[in-house]
Amino acid sequence: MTNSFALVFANIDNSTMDLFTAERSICALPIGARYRLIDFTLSNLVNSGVDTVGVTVREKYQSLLDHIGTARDWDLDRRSGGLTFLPPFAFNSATPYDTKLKALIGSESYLRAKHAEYVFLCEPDVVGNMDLDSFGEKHVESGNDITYLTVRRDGKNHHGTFKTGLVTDENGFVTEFLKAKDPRAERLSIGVCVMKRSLLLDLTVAGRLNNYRHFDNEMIPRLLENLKVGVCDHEGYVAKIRTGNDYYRVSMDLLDSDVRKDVFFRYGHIFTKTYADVPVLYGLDSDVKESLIADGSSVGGVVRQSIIFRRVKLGKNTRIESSIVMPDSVIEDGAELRYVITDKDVRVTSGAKIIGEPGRPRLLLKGQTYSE
Amino acid sequence: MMRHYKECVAMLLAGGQGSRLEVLTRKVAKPAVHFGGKYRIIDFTLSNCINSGIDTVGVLTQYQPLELIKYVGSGRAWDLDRYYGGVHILPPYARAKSSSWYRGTANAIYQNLEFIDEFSPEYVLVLSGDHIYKMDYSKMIAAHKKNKADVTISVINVPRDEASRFGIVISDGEGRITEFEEKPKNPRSTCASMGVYLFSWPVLKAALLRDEADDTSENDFGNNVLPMLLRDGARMFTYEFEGYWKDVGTLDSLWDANMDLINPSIPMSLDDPTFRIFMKSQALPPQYISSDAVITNSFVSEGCEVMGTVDFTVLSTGVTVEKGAVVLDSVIMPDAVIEEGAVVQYAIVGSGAHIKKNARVGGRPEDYPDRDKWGISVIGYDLTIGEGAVVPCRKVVFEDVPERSEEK
Repeated sequence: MTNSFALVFANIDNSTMDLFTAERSICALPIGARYRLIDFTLSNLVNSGVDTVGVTVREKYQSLLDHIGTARDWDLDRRSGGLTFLPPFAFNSATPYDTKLKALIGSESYLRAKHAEYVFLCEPDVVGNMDLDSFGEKHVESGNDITYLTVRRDGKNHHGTFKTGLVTDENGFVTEFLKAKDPRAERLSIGVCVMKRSLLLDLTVAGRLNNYRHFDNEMIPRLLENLKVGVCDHEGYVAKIRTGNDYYRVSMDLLDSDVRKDVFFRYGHIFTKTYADVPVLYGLDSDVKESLIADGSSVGGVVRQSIIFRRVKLGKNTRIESSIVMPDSVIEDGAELRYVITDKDVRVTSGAKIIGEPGRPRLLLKGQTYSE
Repeated sequence: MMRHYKECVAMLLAGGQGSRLEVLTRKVAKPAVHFGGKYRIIDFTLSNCINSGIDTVGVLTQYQPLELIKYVGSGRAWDLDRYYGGVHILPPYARAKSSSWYRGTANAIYQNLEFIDEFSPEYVLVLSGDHIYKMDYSKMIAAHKKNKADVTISVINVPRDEASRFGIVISDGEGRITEFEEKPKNPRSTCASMGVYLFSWPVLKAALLRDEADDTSENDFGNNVLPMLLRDGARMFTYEFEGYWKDVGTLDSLWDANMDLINPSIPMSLDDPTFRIFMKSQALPPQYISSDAVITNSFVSEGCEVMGTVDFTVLSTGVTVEKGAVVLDSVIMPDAVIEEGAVVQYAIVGSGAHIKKNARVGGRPEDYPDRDKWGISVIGYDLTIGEGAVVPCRKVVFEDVPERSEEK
């Protein structure tokens, strides 16, 4: 959809994965062996012809900046448009910049400076390959003021933890916003909506003047009498990552080839930061089954049902089972991991055995060395 | 007009057909041939340039340049997208009064004198785009300066019994070159030229002008320009390179060089953070190894789906090895598919090729008591080897092979 731009709310973090989000926002979380969570949102936008993207950030965004750089890996390094970071500048620092609406208010000048007619608002905590181009066109045809991208609660293809549920009337218009767990909500919001830029500006100003705090859960519900708010269902795989459990289960979902085909190829490729990593070197004693492995790694032992990120070194006679090993980690000779998630740059010393529990994987922290 | 000074400009000869690799170079120039899973041959010279501080590179193309031009693009994969300098594709072009193809390696440079002059360089490095090696050219430039040389030729020591396959350089005790021998029957030295020449620019420019004026010259560096400079008493020195260097001009050497990447005793790591080999990356998912896969001693790239058996093999980006397929001692180029029950051994399978169910490609040397009858098999780009078809060892396949029916 060419006549559009997007705002990506990297400033909101509803996650409860304290250990992995202590130093990074949730959207910078490594996932799927070579991606960060935000890659799905940025790639969906780019694949849908949106080439102007503002990314609002609040704190802990060092790793996001590192990852995105000039945004050239998403073809978002543009003369006209491209990716712009929107930190909380020109804003009273005493006011928290922690909701979608607060970020919109802080980004008012960015919104005013754009010319495109439509704007997508995206929460970047989603795994999925979504056709936002058709979504936008359906919105334009429908005559809605706002359209939310949703899944049906009774569908089988949504995973993780959704926050907002929607009730619609017989004409498909939203009549109520609920908590996602409320069974009356037959639809769940993916956290993506589209509207005219002019409407968003009006809403932003109204939000500022009325001192609202929340966009989807406070302001829009109060305006439902005056606004036509519609929904559009996404059919493919989609997951909202909020808890450690969501993260682990969605990671393991990617070991399924149908899920991979959907998530990595449904409408377009998923782009991520490129490195000049070498191919994976499998050693004499490597024995790998049901695993995803990213380039730059080397394998010297047994790997089962695991996700191995880029530049991970798995030493001789290691055994990695039902685990996730994030980039640049080193598992020394003879070490064993089962139900473990390591953050980046973790070292597990020779012969160490680290065993978590099914459903409660043990977390190893960034940059730390573990011998038991 | 302001001139942008560059101490050294590299000129990369990438126009050759690579006729000994014909099955792989029908549609692409040799430097664009896939190598080592996710690289192309030209990645090594381009990465060497940037790692040596040379940020101005002319790539001389002529034969089948499309794939190469697309691949090099703006040069950003190698940090060679620059305001001043950067990588430039230089094809032959038409002039007001005359125009011609590049007639020889020296003529290709001659036709681009103006490109080089733009940068007013002191040195010009002439490279060929068909070798696999990691080399810091800045050390060669330092040696060139120290010797007050006009020309420095990079050489590598080769085993005496192989020396007759190379251009041999004979030099005195100080490294000053006294003689060249092209593929001599009885080599007097084991210093082989690597096809890496460093010239002081005024010397090269004058030599190219003279060579061009000589109607009898083939306009070739090795056969004409370098011997002419030697006869004229130019200060020509060798620079001894130590490390891994391989000419991948033949199918056998291309297979060997790929296999060297899996061999822990070969002293060339692609994984050295201080001297990286860059390539253009694709947006492909990580590789998936299924519950039926057996994978050992191999080099496997992103986007691969491995459900069969893979041993001593290089799998390039996006390759599929189906359940029950067996791939041994082979080089599989990007996006190839090896179907269920197929067996591929001692082979190079070109990019996009499709090896159908139960087909057999190649044979093992131990099954051939007469070693002369054995050799690797090669399948060209985008070919289909039909269900149950057999491609024997040493066979180079240029066309689709039909399926073979059940009867024996």
